[in-house]
Formats: sequence, structure tokens, C-alpha cells
Amino acid sequence: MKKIIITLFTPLCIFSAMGQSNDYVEMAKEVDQEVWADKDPVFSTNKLPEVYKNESAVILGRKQTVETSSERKGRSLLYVGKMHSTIKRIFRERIFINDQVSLNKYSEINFMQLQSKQDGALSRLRNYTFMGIKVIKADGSQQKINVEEAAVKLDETKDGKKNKIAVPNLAIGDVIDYYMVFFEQARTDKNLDYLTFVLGDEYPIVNLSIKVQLDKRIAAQYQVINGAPDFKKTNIDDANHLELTASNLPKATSVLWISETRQLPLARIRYAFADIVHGRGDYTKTGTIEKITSPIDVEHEFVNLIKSFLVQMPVNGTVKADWKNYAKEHNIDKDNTDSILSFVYYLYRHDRFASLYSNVRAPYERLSGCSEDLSTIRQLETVLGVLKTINSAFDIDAELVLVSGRNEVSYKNIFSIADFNFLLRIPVSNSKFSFYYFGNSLYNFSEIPASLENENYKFIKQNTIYRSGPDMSQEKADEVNGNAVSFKTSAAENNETEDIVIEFDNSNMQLLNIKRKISSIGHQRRSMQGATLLFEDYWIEGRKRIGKHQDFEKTWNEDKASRRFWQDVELALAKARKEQKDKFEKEIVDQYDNKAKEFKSYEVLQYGFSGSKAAVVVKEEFTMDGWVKKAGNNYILEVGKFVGGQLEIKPDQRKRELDIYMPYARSYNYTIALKIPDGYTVEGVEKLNTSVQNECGGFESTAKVEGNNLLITYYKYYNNTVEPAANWDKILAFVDPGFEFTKVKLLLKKK
Amino acid sequence: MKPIYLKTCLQRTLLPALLMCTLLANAGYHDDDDKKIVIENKKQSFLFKQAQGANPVLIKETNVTDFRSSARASMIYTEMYNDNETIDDIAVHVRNKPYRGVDIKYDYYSIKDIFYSDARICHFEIPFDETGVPAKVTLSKTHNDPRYFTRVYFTEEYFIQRKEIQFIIPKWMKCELKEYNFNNNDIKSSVTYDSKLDADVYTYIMKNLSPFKSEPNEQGMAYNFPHVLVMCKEANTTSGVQTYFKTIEDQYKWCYDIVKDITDDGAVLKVQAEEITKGITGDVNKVKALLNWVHQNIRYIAYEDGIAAFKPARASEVMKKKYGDCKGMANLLKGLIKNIGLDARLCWIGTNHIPYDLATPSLSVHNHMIAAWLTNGKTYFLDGTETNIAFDQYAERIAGRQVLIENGDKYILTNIPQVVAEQNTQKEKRVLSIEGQNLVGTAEHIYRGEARSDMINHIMGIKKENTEKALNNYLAENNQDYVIGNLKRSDIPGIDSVLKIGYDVAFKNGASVFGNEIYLDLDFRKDFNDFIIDTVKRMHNLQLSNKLFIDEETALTIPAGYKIGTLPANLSLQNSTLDISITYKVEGNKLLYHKLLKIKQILLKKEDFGLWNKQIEQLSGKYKEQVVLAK
Repeated sequence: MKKIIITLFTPLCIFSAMGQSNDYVEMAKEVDQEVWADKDPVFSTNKLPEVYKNESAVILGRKQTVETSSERKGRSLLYVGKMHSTIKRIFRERIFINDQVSLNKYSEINFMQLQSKQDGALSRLRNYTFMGIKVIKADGSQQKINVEEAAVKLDETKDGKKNKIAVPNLAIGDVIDYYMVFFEQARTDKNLDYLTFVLGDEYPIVNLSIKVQLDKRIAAQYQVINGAPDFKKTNIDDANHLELTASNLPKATSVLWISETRQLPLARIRYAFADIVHGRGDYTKTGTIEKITSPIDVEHEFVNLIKSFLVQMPVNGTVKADWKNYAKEHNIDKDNTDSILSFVYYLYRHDRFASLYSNVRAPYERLSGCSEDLSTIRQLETVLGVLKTINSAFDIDAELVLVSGRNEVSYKNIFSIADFNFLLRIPVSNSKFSFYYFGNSLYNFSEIPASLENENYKFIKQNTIYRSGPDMSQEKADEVNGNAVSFKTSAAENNETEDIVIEFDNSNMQLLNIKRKISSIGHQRRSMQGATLLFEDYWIEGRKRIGKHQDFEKTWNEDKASRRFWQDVELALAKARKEQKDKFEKEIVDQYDNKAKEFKSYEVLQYGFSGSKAAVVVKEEFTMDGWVKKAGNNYILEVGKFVGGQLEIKPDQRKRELDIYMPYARSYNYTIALKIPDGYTVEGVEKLNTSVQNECGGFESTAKVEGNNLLITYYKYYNNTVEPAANWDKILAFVDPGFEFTKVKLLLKKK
Repeated sequence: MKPIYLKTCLQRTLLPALLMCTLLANAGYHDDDDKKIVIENKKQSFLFKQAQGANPVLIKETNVTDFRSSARASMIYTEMYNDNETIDDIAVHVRNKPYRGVDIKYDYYSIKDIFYSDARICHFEIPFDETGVPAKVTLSKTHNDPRYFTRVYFTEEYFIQRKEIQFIIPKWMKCELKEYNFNNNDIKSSVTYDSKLDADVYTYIMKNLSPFKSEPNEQGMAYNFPHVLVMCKEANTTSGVQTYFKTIEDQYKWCYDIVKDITDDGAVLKVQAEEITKGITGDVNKVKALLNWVHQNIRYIAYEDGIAAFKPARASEVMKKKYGDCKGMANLLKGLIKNIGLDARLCWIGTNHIPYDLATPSLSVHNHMIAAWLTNGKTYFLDGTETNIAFDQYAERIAGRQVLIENGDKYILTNIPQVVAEQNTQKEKRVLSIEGQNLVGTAEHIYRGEARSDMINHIMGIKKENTEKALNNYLAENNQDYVIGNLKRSDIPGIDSVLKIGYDVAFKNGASVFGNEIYLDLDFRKDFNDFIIDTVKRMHNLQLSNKLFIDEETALTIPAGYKIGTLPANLSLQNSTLDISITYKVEGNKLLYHKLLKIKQILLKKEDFGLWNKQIEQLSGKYKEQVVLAK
């Protein structure tokens, strides 16, 4: 399901109509006059405010207008006004060009000039786009650009032409004022449409205005969140108006660890040419606009939607027998709920992510890796199927969890079904739950994504949506919408541990032989698995887990239609296996920012594809060059590099105003044993002892010489996922020394 | 005529291959095994024919290609065409039967860095849904004007097992073929006479030809891949003699005829030229100011569109629009200079991207236009597209190249001056002393020539609010411990031919102190470190973008009480492309570290890779040595 996409960069691309019909030309003229005649104060200035003098470009004014009308445009014989919507959207902005980069960006514009018409029996529906450009020079003189003349045509279809314009006479210090108008006629329907306005862009915005005018046939709801100013609501001539203005919006720059959808001001509107049913026992009626401050309407809409969906959902009829066989073979109590739930989870996961025949079209792409995502709608289908199946086969009642991820709006700001993520939770014992999540192939039983951890969620009991039939009374809906708080994993549970043994090469003191063993658990596990492990191993492990034989070739050839492709698949499997080495080599480059001089070997000791607290464990051997510098008879050892690249906070990141949204609580442990070559001593070891701890996390490192070994430990951890901006200094307190460590050098001195 | 025309040619041929890869990523099994889909056999022929109408000579091209795949796959067949070429007919067979599912698409072909071109692409997908399925594509094309029919590449996007190319040239057509890069390839040629057509038939048969493959730092593709240059000289047709490019004179005449009648609004140019040069004395300074004005005010936008690819826009038009391609910019420079009473001309030139010169007259010889100012027997060349190169300095891509200068009915043929590495100097001088574990002092940089223009172009390509930060990060090699303060620099872009940057440095932990010893690494930049060429994978010669003279010096004050413990040995190496010199010297209480790296020529030939790698390893090894000061 689609999440809100925040487009920070205004796409200089519009889609509209084609074939220069008289109608189009006439309307283009009208639109042009209308837009340029607009004296909205949002466009009152052409001057660059002093405060923005060092910016690449500044949006001096931006106005976004959406208008619907029942007005009849065009000549149809039997025009029935109620059956049509006419929506006109105008986007206009005035931008101060303040450097070469913005000049390059705005001096070449692509646009799709749509001139499409649909002639039906009853009406003529038009879909047009228009564009206009003016260049305003520093002395205030304005030059209107003849867009038709300045454009070259790249492509032409029956619906329009794709143009490219070189804006003439635009220079640094000028203002470009341009508009794009989308004029769209369609037959009305009762579906909800959404408008999203982000109050921020790549450049600062001095003045912003959003105006929405909806005719009386429309019912609408809206929300303003993350500090966006509220709409002013008025009713003029039977039409509802929403207006919002804002000024001096800072540029939305890319900042480390933020959640744009929770931190950028946002306004959203949803509307339909019909009443909008809501969950409060009533409707938002046509001709009205309502401000929404809770997700209840969307919850209600969702419940109504899935009830009928669930009725049609097939039940897996063989799961019970499969389980009985498995339990018998593995000598497991067949009535143990935990065991049943775990088995059913892996059965479904295997079906969703390890089905062989979905790979027929592109075997290599799929067979080369083990990480795959499932679309949100397929996740919903899956969890509903499981919900129904475990009820029917094992009489287990699961609950459907509705939750919004940390990089999406907060739950309280849910405004569309597309904002939801779906999980199942199954009460097990002592108010504990097991979870089913099917968003990605690398989640094990009862693991949920870090982005959903510690987020408020709601759950719906399965008997509400399944057993009590398609119609749900409002009373009942309220009753079953429960609140809960999901669990949170700790830094220790999301750990990466590396044991590294280093020796100097016998023949070249500047070359290091390195043996590295990596073990990753929790949320840290999946990135390692995704980067290095193969589908074939995933498939085999998955089959073991559900008690099926693990003969890949045999399984593939069981399917008649796929059989003839076996030769390709065999090649793809062999190639994937061969290229796994490259993946491990690449992981070394990512970790150390250095290529191994020679990558000698690797071995996967543990895949971590199933089980709670599962770890992926890998060991490898390689040599590294460049970390030892010669200094006469002695050597300088860049010992800090042994722990790989660590997070560095740059000077411009040190001041922080936005709250901190990290991926998850996590910890890193590195243990290094360096064999000191005979005839040498090590100096400077004491520089490696550090200890910083606070409520946000910590960094501890130790070093000592034992016999002829230098033993180093490095331990860094982040306790929380989300931190208030005020805690930034506390995070820096341990992140900084964690990075400083990477620069430490020791002296290897000839005795 | 555009400065990156050759790059364009490369892209025209190679990008379909890349496009195909992108499409294939979704469509089926593909890998980097070049021989999975192969051309088993291809027959391509070019027949010169007479016709009525505006184009008395046409070239009919036919292609019959047999593909086979050794694994299940899907390929995108592509064919480029443009305003001078039409695709007449396409037939596709899969498993020896007409392939009914074929969906042939004709699209605008977007080329990076070109605003608009007439390049079009015809493409369609062919499935190989089982191993060993054969496919055959038969395609015919017409080239409408022999002038634009200049080159035929032999290499394809797929491995070729066998290919035959025929040029059928009737006796009435005077045309010469010149072969390029046949050297290590299995290509056999023969000439026969076809009495029925009264034509010479030139046949090339090649076997086992590797596909196109792009490599970093490569020369233009015309240096590397086998092809013939087609030089159409003259045609004795029933409608009269058609003269193409028999001699340099013919070529000049054609070029000159296109530009000689371009009218312009002299008054407008005069006003602008006078405004730009107001208060400036001396012709050199005036021309310098005009070149700088064009560099800073006219945006480069490339058009490639039939004859428009050769005809410059009017100077006043370019001035008004504030954009133009190389021809438009050259014409504007000419117009401005002429309007201050000096002698300016247009010049046709081929950049170093192509291996041809006017010994082989053809439209392929020129891919760029610049202007020239002629004064007292001296000629200064002015390249409007080479933003930020200073007056009388030349970019490598035009340096030393043959240039055809407009001169009424005659022409002047000469060469752009050669450039030496020192034109492109990149100098850094640091004066440092040790304070505890830190190195402190000052640094000064000087950039000239292309070192300067590259630097300015990079800075101008960064958003204004990030410029200073980016410059600091660049100078500090992204090292937060290398703290730069009190930075002063010349104006950017500026008109001076030298860019100067100076600042204070405090390099935290730049000295490692252990007991009575201080360990130092005096090379901060480590240019060319580990620049090793993979001699197994690399197919072609390597070409660096320009000559360069890197001169880095660090003068370190030896702290009182310390003396030199260990100094690394000096290093002096030379190969065909690069001179390397590293010296350590003690003068009084100063330790002087001096590194000179001179790229004296940009081409590194394959046979020199071994020596290059050996010397780069020595240089990298040197970078891993430290100075020791001891009490």
C-alpha cells in the first residue's frame, strides 16, 4: 500500500492534453490571463530576503489551488452536470535564482502538454495541461516566455506531446515565475480522492498559499499535522473553501535520523462525490467539510472493507495434517500452541517467499539473494488468510493489528487506509503475544520490524470481523477496537559482534592477515543476511523448518510447466553461488572503506533464518594493506581501522533542533587479538582505553597486552530508538569517542 | 558540430546496449557473460543508388541478423535513426517462424548533455524462451544523404561469431573506405567487381568479434573499435555531378556556405561588446573580457538536429537567449570581437575524441566549433564552451588539434598550440610546525589552466549555501581534524588566469608522539595512491582527461631539541605518461618534503601498463613511510 510520498523537489513536469484544438488554444489563453492576473499577496515580492542571501534559490511565493466545479464546459448534447467533475489544479511559484546550480535546474524544463479528449455518448471529457513562464529581471522588468516557441518536441502521442523548454534569458539574480495548470474532467464516482500538501521544499519558501474550493456535491475531510497551520474554512456561493497560508518555511534539508512524515508540516484532504461514512455513527455529508483529528473514520472504513474480504478468503485445508506429521516426526506435543504458531508461521513464510515457480521469468534476480519484500496488500491478504486458517484448523483466535511505522505518520494522524501496516498478534500466555509479520522474507516467527516497535497500535479481535458476519454495528466496532503498546527490543538484542584475529604477514610487515568472525542478531541480522546470503540456502532452511525434503532439483521438476527451465535455474544457482564471494568482498569494502588485498575464504556458520534470537554467523579470512606505515626500523599501526568505519558527526550536524529518529536500539562489540611480532613491542596502548555512558547509550574500549598478544575491545551501544533533540549532546558524548577511536595509531617498536 | 559530438556518437551506439540491460533486468535472465546471446551470422550491405528528387544519391542498407541464445533470455533489439536516415522495413522471426508478438516502438532518444537531437531509436523485444532458440531480424534502412553517411562500426552489442559487410559502390560513385582498428581482429577484406551493377564490391568478413564495452578513462570509441570511415567524394548521376567532400576545399566550401550568409544585428552586438569592454584598454584585455563574459553569461545547451547541427545560431539570438551550443557561442564571440573592430573568425575542429583529420575529408572530421582572434600574425583561439578556461590557455581536448579557420573563399589550416603539463599547474605549499601532537601553520594553493577551470567548475556546481563547506572539505580531504581557518581566495569564477587559495591549518594529531620520538606523515594528499590498472580486465589504452603538474611542498620546522631520526629515501621514477619525484631535504631547522607528479601526456598505452603499475606501487609504498624525529 502506498505510503505518503513526500516530494521535496517540485517536479518540473506536467501532464496535460494534445493536438492544438481550438478549444485547447482558447482555454490556454483564458488560463494564462487568469493566472497572471492573480494579484495574490503571496506574489508581492521579487526581492531576495537578506536572510536567504546564501541560498542556492528561494521560493519567494508559491500558490497551490484546487477547484472543483459543476460548471459545464464544452458542448455535449445531453450534458448532465451531476455526472461530471471538473477539477482544475494550479501550481504557480516564483523563484529567485541565486546560483549556477539553480540556474541550471530552472533553465531547462520538461513538460507533458496534455490535450486529450474523450468523446462519449453523453459528454466530452477533457484532460488538458498548460504552462506559462515569465522571467523577472533585477530591474523589475518582466519578460513573458513564449512557451510554444521555446519548446522542442520530444515525443507526441494521441494524448499529448512531451516538450522540453530552454528558458531564454534567465540568469543568476533573476526571478522565474511559472505556472502549471491541470484541467481534468471525469465522470464522478464515489471513491475517495486524496490531496497532500507538504509545507516545505528543497529551498526556503517565503510565502505559501494553498486554496481549495470544493463544490456542493462534494464531501471532504482534512487534517493538518506536524505543526502545519490550520485551514480557514468558508462557504461562498454554495462552495466550500479551505485556505491556508504560511510564511518563511525553512528548507527541508536532508538531516541524519529524522522521520520526514512526522516532522514536516503536512496538510491532507480527502474528498468524494458522495457522503463519507465515518466511524462516529454518522456521515460527513456532501456539501460539508470536516476537520479530522482521530483515525476513527479510517478504522471504520477499514473494518467494513475487510469484513467482506475475509468472507471470501480461502482456508488452508492441509495445514492441520502438515502439522500433525511434523509434530510426530519431530516428537513435539501436537497441542502446544507455541509450536503450532511457529510451524504455521514458517509454513506461510515459505509459501510467500520461497515458492520456486514465481522465479520462472527471472531466475537469477530472485535466486541470487534471499531478501524479498511483500506489498502491503499481499501482506493483508496473507494475515487475513492465516487468521482464518488458524481459527478453523486449531481454534486459535488471532487479532489483526493496525499500526503505523515510525517513518510514516503517527497512529493518531492516520488519514487513509494506505497509512496502515498489518500484523497479527496471538495472545499466548500471561498477557504475552506472538506476532506474525509478512513484510519481508527475513523475519522469523514473532519478529516485527523495528519501525513498528514501541508504536501505539490498535487490534481487532477476529470474532468481530470474521464470525459475526458482514454487517458490524457501530457499537460493536467501538467495543473491539482495543489499544495496546507493542514491545521494544533492547540494544543487547540488536547486536553485532565481531571477533577479529590479526597477524603480520611473515614476508611483509606492512601486510596484515585477518581472520574475522561476525555474528549478528535482532534487527542487525537482516542487513547481513540480505547482503550476503542466497535464496537456495533460504529455501533449504525453510523446508527443514516445515518438515519437507530439501531436494531443490526434485521440487523444481515436480511442476510440469517449469521443468523445461531447469537448465536455466541450475545455471542461475551456480552463478549465485559463485558470486556470493563477491558479496562478502563488497561487505568488507563497506565495513572498512578499503578493499581487501586478498580475499582468501568465507564460510557461513549459521544462517539465522529461523528461531527466536537467531543469529547469522559468518567467518572469513583476508589480507589488508595500508594500515601499517614504515618508520625506519619501526612501524606505525593504524589500529583504529580494525573496527571499520564508525559514525562521524560532521561540524554542520552538531547543532540539532529536530527530534532524533534512529532505526532501533543497538549495540556493537568488536574484540581484536593482534599478535605482536617477535622482536617488537607496542607503545601507545593506553590511548585505547575509553569509557562514556549515559541514558542514551555508551562507548567503552579497552586494550591490554597479554603475552605476545594485544587485546582490544570496542563496545558501542544506543539504548533507544527515538530521542528528543535535547539529548543530542548525550549521543555525541559517546558517538564522538567511538569515531575518534578509528584514528588511533600505535607504535610497533623494534626491540 | 558540438563539443561532445563524439561522446554523443559513443552514446548513440552504446546506450542502446545499456538500455537493453536495464530492460532485461526486469525481463529475464541476463548476466555479464557476453556470449550468452550471440550473433551467429550477420549480413549487412550498403548499396549506393541513384534517385530522383532532392536526394539524387541514396544508400540502401540491409541487415540480416541471426541471433541465438545459449540460455533462456530476452533481448532488446535497437536501431538508431535520425532526420537523414529512415527505417524502411523490419521483419522478425523466432524459431524460424514470423514472430507475431513483436511490438516495435519508435522513440525520441535522449542523450545526456544534449538538450535536443534528432536521434531516434527503434526498439523491440525478442524473447528466447528456451535454450538454443534462433531468432532472425531483417531490417532495411535508407541513408538519404551521402554527406552524413560517414562511418560504419563493425562491433555490435553482442558477440559476433561471423559477420559480413558489403559496400556496393557503382562506378558512378566516387567513394573511398578507410579502415580503422583492424589490428588484432579477425577481419578479412576483398574487392570484387559486379559487372551487372557496374560496381566495385568491398567485402569485409569478420569472425569472433567482441561486443562494445565501455571502460573508465577511455579514448573515443573510434580509437578502439574496428570501423571504416566512408569518404563520399563525388557522384556522376543522371541529374548531374554531385560533389561531396573530395578535397579539403570541398569540405571547407560546404562548411563555409552554411555560415557565410548568417545575418546579424551588428548594432545590438556592438552595444553589448562596448559595454563589456568599457574602461578596458588594450586589445588583449578586451578580448579576454569578451571571452569571460561569454563563459559566465551564456549557458551551453547542445542541439543536434540535421543541418542545424552545423549551422550556428545568430550571435544576437544567442546573446538574447543567453544560451547556445558551441557554434552559437563561437558565432557570438566572433560577433562581439568584430564589433570592437578586431578580426575574429569561426573555426571548425575535431577534438581529441576522434582520430581523424582533414587528410580524410568527411563530416566526421569535425565535432566542435570555436572562434579565433587574428592579430599581428598571431592567432588566439577562443572556446566558448570551455567555461572558466583562461584566455590563451587551451583545454586538452583541443590542444594541438588541427583547425580549419574561416577565411573568405579560402581557408586557413593550422593547429591549436600544444599544451604542456605546466599550463595545468596545481601547486600547494605548506609551512608547518609542531605543537604537541598537532601540526599548525599555513597553506597556499595555486591552480592554473585546466586545474583551475576544473576546480572552478566543481565549485560552481555546488549549491551556494554549501560552497564554503564543500571547499573546506575538499581541501581538508574530508578530515575533520584538518581544521582550516582564515581562508582567503581569488574571486570565483573570476577573470584571472590563476586561482589562489590560502588558509591557516591546524592538523589535530597530525604528529604521533611516542616517548622521545615524533612520527610524521608529510604527504597529506596521496595523489595516484593505488591507481593500479587491472591488466587482465582492461581492454584498451587508458586516457587521462588532461595533462597536469602537481607540485606539493611541505616545510616543517624541526622542534628545538629534536633531530632527524629517520627520513624515507627519495623517489624518482619516469614512465611514458607520468614523472614522479619525491624528495626529503633538511635545510637548517627545516625539513622540506617535495613531491612533483607530472602527467606529461594523457595517453597510457596497454604495453606501458606493467611499468605504470610497478611505479604506482612504489609511489603507494612511499606513501606508507613516515618521518621520525628523535630527541
